[in-house]
Amino acid sequence: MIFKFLRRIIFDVAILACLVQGWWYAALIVAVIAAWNHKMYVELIIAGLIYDSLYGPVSMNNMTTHIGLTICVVLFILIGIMKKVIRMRE
Amino acid sequence: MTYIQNHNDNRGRSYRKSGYIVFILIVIIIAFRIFMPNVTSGFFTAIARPFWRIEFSINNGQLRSNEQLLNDNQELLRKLEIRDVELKSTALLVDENEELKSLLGRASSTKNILAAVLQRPPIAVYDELVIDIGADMGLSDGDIVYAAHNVPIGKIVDISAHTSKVLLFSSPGQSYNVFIGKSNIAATAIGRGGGQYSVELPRSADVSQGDHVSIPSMRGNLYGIVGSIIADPSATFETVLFSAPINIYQLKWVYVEKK
Repeated sequence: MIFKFLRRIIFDVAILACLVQGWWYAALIVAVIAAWNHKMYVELIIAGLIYDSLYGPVSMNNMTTHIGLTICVVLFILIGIMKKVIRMRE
Repeated sequence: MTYIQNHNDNRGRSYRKSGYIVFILIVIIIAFRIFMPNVTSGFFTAIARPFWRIEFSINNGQLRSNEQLLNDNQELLRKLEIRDVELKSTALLVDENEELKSLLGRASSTKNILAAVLQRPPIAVYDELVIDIGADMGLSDGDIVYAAHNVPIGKIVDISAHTSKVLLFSSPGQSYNVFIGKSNIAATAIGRGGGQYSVELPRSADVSQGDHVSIPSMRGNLYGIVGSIIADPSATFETVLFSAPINIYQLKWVYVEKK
């Protein structure tokens, strides 16, 4: 249990570091791996929010300024469905 | 009576419950992002700024040994002396220019502020820069940002306490009026991202590769250089592609012209 929690924290820190560095592709890969390995990995959505907040033009409030959040929400739902389907088959 | 507990039902209920919680969280986050965008942006930028500053310092060699810094200092002093001589002749021309402008009632009353570029494309997916000055230096929305040699590259769109975001003119979909070529043909340039622009012109327009593109202003700033012209013999228009004369992927410093 503690190991899982620690692993989750490590993933969180890694994602945050990648986001601050601007390595969105690395952050995305780490977040997808983390979401696959952890239950309800809401940090994925928060990562999208952080990315948009750091780099997105907030004053222009349209869909194009929420790319990070949109992608992360879609990924979160997709991964959740895929996990459920695959684990049900197993 | 004894009933066998159905584990699948329990698991399904648990999944549904977690799903509802996550859904509510997503709604809260999206609402927060849409209705209070500056709060999240300001908060996360304040956290990231120290790390960006450290990265900038490392990239610019500000964390080198004393000996190295002394050597660099000597070298820079030598270069500075040479530049001083050049600058004096330039300063004369600038003074003359200002004098002529003031005689014509067009004196410049703008103030420029130097800023360090903390983040730039392609690190940021959005075609914009993050610079290290913000409300603390009195910036306001729409202030024009210039690269070296007075090349206009973007405008301020979001201002935090100590940082600002610069939307590049080349951002996809952004359009601006420009003059192209030796005959100063007026046209509308459309951003294509990454410092690239395109313009639709009649095929008869006198534009060739290497022509200068400028923006309509008193300063006559160089905006771009024509890179290529795509002409279809069956079409009446041709597409002129031009790019900024500086590489936006290598920008370290910019200056902001306060209104």
